[in-house]
Amino acid sequence: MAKLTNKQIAQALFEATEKLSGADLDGALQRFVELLAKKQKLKQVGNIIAEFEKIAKKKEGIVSIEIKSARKLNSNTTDSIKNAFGDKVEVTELVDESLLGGTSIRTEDKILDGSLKTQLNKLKLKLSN
Amino acid sequence: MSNAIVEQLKKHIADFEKSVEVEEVGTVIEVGDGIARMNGLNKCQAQEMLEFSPSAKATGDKAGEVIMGVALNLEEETVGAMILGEYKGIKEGDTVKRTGRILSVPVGEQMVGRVVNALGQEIDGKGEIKTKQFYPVEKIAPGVMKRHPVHEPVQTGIKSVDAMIPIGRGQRELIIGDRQTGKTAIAIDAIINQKGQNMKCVYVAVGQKESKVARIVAKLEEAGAMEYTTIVVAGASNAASMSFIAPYAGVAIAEYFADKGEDVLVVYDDLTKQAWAYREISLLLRRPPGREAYPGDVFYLHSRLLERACKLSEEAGGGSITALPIIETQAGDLTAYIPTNVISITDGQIFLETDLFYKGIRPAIGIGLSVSRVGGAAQIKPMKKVAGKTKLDMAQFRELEAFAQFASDLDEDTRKQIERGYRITEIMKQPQYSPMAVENQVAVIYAVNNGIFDDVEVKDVSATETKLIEFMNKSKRTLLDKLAAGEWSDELEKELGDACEEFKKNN
Repeated sequence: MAKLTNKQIAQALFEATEKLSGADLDGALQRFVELLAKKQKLKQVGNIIAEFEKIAKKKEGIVSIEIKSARKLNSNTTDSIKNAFGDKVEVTELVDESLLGGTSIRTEDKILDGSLKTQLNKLKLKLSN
Repeated sequence: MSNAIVEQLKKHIADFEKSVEVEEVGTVIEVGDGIARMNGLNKCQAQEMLEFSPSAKATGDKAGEVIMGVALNLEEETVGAMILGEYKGIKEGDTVKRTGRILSVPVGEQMVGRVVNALGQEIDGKGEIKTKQFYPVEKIAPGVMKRHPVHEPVQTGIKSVDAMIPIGRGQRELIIGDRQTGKTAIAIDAIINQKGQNMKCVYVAVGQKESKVARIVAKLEEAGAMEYTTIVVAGASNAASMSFIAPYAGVAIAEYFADKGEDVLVVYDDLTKQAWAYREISLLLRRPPGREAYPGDVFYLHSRLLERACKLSEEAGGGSITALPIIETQAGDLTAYIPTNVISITDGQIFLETDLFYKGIRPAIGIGLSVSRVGGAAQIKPMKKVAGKTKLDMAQFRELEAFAQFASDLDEDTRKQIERGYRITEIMKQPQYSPMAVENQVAVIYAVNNGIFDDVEVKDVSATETKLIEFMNKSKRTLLDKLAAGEWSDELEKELGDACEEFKKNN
């Protein structure tokens, strides 16, 4: 049998616990941890939780983005960026001075790079060719 | 003048459009021994270049330097890639960008005379190579309609090869043998002899010791061969991915010249090590191992490389790529996996034997097992006429040699054949780095086949040979020039015979 991936385990956990609550949920979680121990997957628990979060967010339609900017953005700017990505947006803000200016936004599998650093690099490439 | 430049620059800057770069990215989930596994990268193509940007801290002072990788495994959730270069800076969680480009190397006239790594970057310290064009490393070989049968010779300058195992332009001739039997020597001699033959050369060193490569570069420079040669090096200390790519990079550099209608000779030294590198990468990427733990597509690894050797038709420019792959065997075992594969792909092989090497027969070519499947069509006419039967004679001689110890009991014919065989063997010996012009080869082989050396002691044959060549070049130059031009007729043969007799009388 093929080895179970973390994603498959997380998916199974999500499906099993979706409709449960209270004592049932506790019981299910306990059995889940026992299963992990049996399959020797306890070391992977951090990754499984990360996968689980991803699945849960997808199910609820939450988009998580990471905004990188040279300076701290004011809340207006953050809000307008948020709105561009839908209603349920989870934002992580990071400050990276090496960007020089502008912002770079990372979604799950894309980077929208509008930073000054990238623009200058592109200009450099264009002028040197 | 300078004002105009400033204006131009200003215009460029004004025209520069600010746009938001959209990049598809993934995250590294596993790194190890030259490979990385990532998730994300949903639309990643096979063989696409990926850009790893390790954090400044991990790479130390080389902050912001990007490391490239090539996507090899596209799986359901993850992408497996080999890393080109130093992988130690990359760690779990790093961002990986798609580039949308297939791995390519710089090509052009500027590459000639240079030593480059598997990515086409200079490593000889002679400054950056600025080329206008890039060729993809992986390319499908020319199809049937673009090809022409092999018909022109490659003069290797090695008597036993040119006479008995001739190689044509566009042919793939394998050089195979145990370690220390002179495989590289044959290839290097062939490169040295291409001077003035209208041929570009590419020497690809895969997994070789840097000291050996340095020695070869020095030798080629000394012989003036670097004027038309490019050397691609993936040393023993480089990552396996470099050894895997180097032959493809070499043939890409060659293809540039072939597309321009030029002839190119490519030496892959050696493909055994490339197969090892590919096996290493494949096993790390968890592809299922097959025979000798090589992955299932190791045949395709070599076939797609060697298929790119070709003689192009006139419509396609008429260029050619001749490939001399080298394979190292273990204890003369030709039936191992990689040797059989490459033997079946190429148009013949030159088999070098340890026994012969230690007997002092160098180049140590085993005549019985060496063949050239297409080269005969490419020999110049005098050589074909003169040396046509030599290979058969030699093979028969090796059979008879075993009886030589009962020489007294043998009949006259057999004894003569054996005596002649010793002399031909002696004639075929040739020291390293001393290729011989084709017209001299014709004269010498004609002479030995027609009994000019029969009265000479075996140990004196090589000295007499030198004298014969001297004599021919001094007093029969016009005859040699005609032979070199590929002319052959009864009169010419008679002239050559008379010249040999004249030499015999005087010595």
